Amino acid sequence: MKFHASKKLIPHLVVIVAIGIGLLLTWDWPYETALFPRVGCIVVLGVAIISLVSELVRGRGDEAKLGDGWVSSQPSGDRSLRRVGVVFGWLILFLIGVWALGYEVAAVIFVFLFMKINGKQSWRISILFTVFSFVFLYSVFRLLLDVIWPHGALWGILGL
Amino acid sequence: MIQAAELALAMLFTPIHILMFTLGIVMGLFLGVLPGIDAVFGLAVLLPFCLVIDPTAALPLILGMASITFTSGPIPSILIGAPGTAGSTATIVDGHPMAKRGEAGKAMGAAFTASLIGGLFGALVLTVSVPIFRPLVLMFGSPEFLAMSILGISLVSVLCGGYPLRGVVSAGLGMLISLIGQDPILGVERWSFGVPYLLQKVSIITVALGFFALAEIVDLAIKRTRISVSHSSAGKWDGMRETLKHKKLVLSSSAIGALVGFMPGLGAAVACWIAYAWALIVSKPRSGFGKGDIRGVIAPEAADNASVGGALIPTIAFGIPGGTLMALMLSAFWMMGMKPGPELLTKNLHLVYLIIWTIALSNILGAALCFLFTDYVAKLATVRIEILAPVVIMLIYGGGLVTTMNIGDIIVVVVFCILGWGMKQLDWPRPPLLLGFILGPLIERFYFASTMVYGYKWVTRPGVLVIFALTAICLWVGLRIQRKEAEVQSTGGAES
Repeated sequence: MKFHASKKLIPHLVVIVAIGIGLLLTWDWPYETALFPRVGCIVVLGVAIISLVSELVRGRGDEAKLGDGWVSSQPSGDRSLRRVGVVFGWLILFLIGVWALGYEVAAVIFVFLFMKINGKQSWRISILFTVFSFVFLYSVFRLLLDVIWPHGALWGILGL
Repeated sequence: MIQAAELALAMLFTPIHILMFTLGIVMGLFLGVLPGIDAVFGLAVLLPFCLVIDPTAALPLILGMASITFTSGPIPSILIGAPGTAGSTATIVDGHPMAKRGEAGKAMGAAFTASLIGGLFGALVLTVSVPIFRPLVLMFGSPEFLAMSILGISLVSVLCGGYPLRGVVSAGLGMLISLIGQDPILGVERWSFGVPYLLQKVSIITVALGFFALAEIVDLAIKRTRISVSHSSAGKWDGMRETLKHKKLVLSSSAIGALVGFMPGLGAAVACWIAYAWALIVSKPRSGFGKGDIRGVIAPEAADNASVGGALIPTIAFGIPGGTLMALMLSAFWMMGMKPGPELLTKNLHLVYLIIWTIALSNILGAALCFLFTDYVAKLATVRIEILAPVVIMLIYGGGLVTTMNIGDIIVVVVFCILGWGMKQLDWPRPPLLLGFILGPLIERFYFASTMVYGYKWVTRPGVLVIFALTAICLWVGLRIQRKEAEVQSTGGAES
């Protein structure tokens, strides 16, 4: 029997470990609370193990080629780890920005910095889109919809 | 009855009503386009006005707004893969690949036409149901809702696109994630690890925003490419023609939407997926689904809009809201002094017809307005990603944060973005996870409600048996589709 180990098996292992831990955590729960999570965990765990074994035995390299809506069908081009890290880094920085500065301030700074540094756009375009973003956010969310965004944690720490 | 309908129509065409109606439609169109912000949000904003405006004027305002968000909702789903409303999540699967191919205009034309027909169908169903509201609602109970939810989850068999086992795992994961928080029976916390944010259920909107929209934008930003390199000449009129060509699919999907919308707790988010799976079952060839098949846009959009008419039936007849939107609608009715139930159906029948006329007319006007701007909106798909990404990411974060105004909303968006992007790279089907996430809590709630009231005899109810038979057919067809896909792929593999 030939085994086909590949990086595509990693998600199976992650799922099996995560669901295994999840199942253990249900142990002390009352019957009504635990029924669905426990049944769900056991079914998913079983199917994930079957899937892992079948892919180990058969390999999936030559199988289904699906569309973008289901999964990726296009080669991702320049998908080096560095670019992946940079883009996700921007997302995390924006998230921290929202927590520290509040959504409106963080959004404006994010749009400008992303365009200028990551997008390498001109000063004119970067400033233009930053101003547009601010006007849009303020007029739509603040004035029209009366949305009050949560304050940034930093302002609380500084007593502002 | 005819007199009441005529009176309602005459009321709708007085200046104050036209003004309120127009305001509602413009607001609805706008809200539907903003990712993550839907009619629930709009209704919450408008609710205080219901106290001060005359009820007959407030109805066109709130219903015009609520109906139209469903029409403009597919715009962000198609363009950037971000659902405008929960009912547009299934549209992403084929609508966004169409936009990537430069066919955003065609996809939107099809979506608006299907939405219009679906909306009118829903209004028609509501009209026809008025005399038989009571027996109709009493026919269905929690066992039927449970059976319908099980039918929904069985559709994973057609949604897993050639990876049946991965599809089941994906759907199971979605169900398990949806169970995080307090359990609905005893209120005991599950897998929330003492984090207050996780005690409440995670919203489908934040999950879909991260899982599809942000994951797509991140992928484009990594590749440094735009959504669509070219802009196809196939425009909105082609989309409209294609929709009219598939009239059987549009009507059957509208019927599914009205039926699912009618069942409390299910709603547009479930209806769009069932209709999508229905399109997969009845269409031939199926190879284009998931890659930008227009039928994958038509079916969910028709069902999405039709669900509004269906959801209003239990709301008007018994004051039973089918979901958050209908619960808010019910609050608005009460605030306006309208009492849903026999009194509304006898003494104030003209108000029921005002609701029906408003839904019908707002669907026509909304679709016309959307059509008007389609060509301009479709060009957004060709904007460079360096410019589009920061603005779209800003909107996605904003749409996520609006859900509960907690930083946890954005953390959920980012976590699901990582999960969605990872699944996309590793060839794991994503739609089943979303379907599992939507249906998980419903199955649990309806299961306990059914067994508490009927014991295990709920299984033998005629309605349940019919729906179970449909489930078996769906599973059988789904397995056949998987087998055929495997055969085609193995033949293709051998040839290449």
